[in-house]
Amino acid sequence: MKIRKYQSLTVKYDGIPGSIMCEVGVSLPFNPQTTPESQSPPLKKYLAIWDTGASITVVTEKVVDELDLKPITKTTVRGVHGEEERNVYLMNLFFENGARIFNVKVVSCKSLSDGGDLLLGMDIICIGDFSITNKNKKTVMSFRTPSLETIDFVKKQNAENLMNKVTHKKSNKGTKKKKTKKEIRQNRKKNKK
Amino acid sequence: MMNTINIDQNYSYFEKNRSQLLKKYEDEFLVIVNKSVVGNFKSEEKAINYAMENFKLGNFLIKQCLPKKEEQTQVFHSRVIF
Repeated sequence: MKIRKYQSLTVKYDGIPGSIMCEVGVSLPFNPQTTPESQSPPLKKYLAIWDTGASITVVTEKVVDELDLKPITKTTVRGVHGEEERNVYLMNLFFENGARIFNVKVVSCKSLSDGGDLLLGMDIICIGDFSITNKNKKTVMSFRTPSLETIDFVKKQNAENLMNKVTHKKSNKGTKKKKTKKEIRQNRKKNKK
Repeated sequence: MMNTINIDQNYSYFEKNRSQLLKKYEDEFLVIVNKSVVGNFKSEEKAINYAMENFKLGNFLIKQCLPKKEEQTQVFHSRVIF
């Protein structure tokens, strides 16, 4: 699988969606180094769902038929309906932002239960950084390739807690609570004894 | 023109001869055309590039030569109807 240099993609929603979808271009596989752009196979647009529950990318039989994809091998797939052997196809993927992924191996399925034509599986998700945030109940998905950093909310939280502790201590320094007259009297009595 | 033997026949050839092929090509990526091995490679990318440059899509099978039990199963937790 070949990927073009650093690219990113963001999908924003006005609310909280049931799934993260985006439009992708799909074509028969070709080598961009040896195929001039004028001779590259036609590209068709399809609706793709980002799915961390799929170990590899899946296309419906509709996509296979429309693009006339040819199988290159077979693999065993395990879904909710059990295990079976399915054809594996090669295709090229094109994202709206210009990111392109060549020679993606995909398996075919009859259909997807929630609609859509493709599932972008962990084989695609794991070539880059993938995030979903939901600030103000508005979902934002962002994806970039290649991976550039680790996002760790626990580490960030621990660092923030530590910073708060230090700032709190500093702000309390020199502001010792003044003793009341009653406390001073009691202390004097204690000292006399 | 080369006779086109579809993927099922090339796959059956691989399954029937798996134990023999394992002795010679274990872990390698094989390019199988017309029921014979025409290329063996250390990486899948190289096998795909070789097959794409030399044969028409649909006329070849690419298969990693592994014992059946070591083959990877692709898992789908939702959505997919096979």
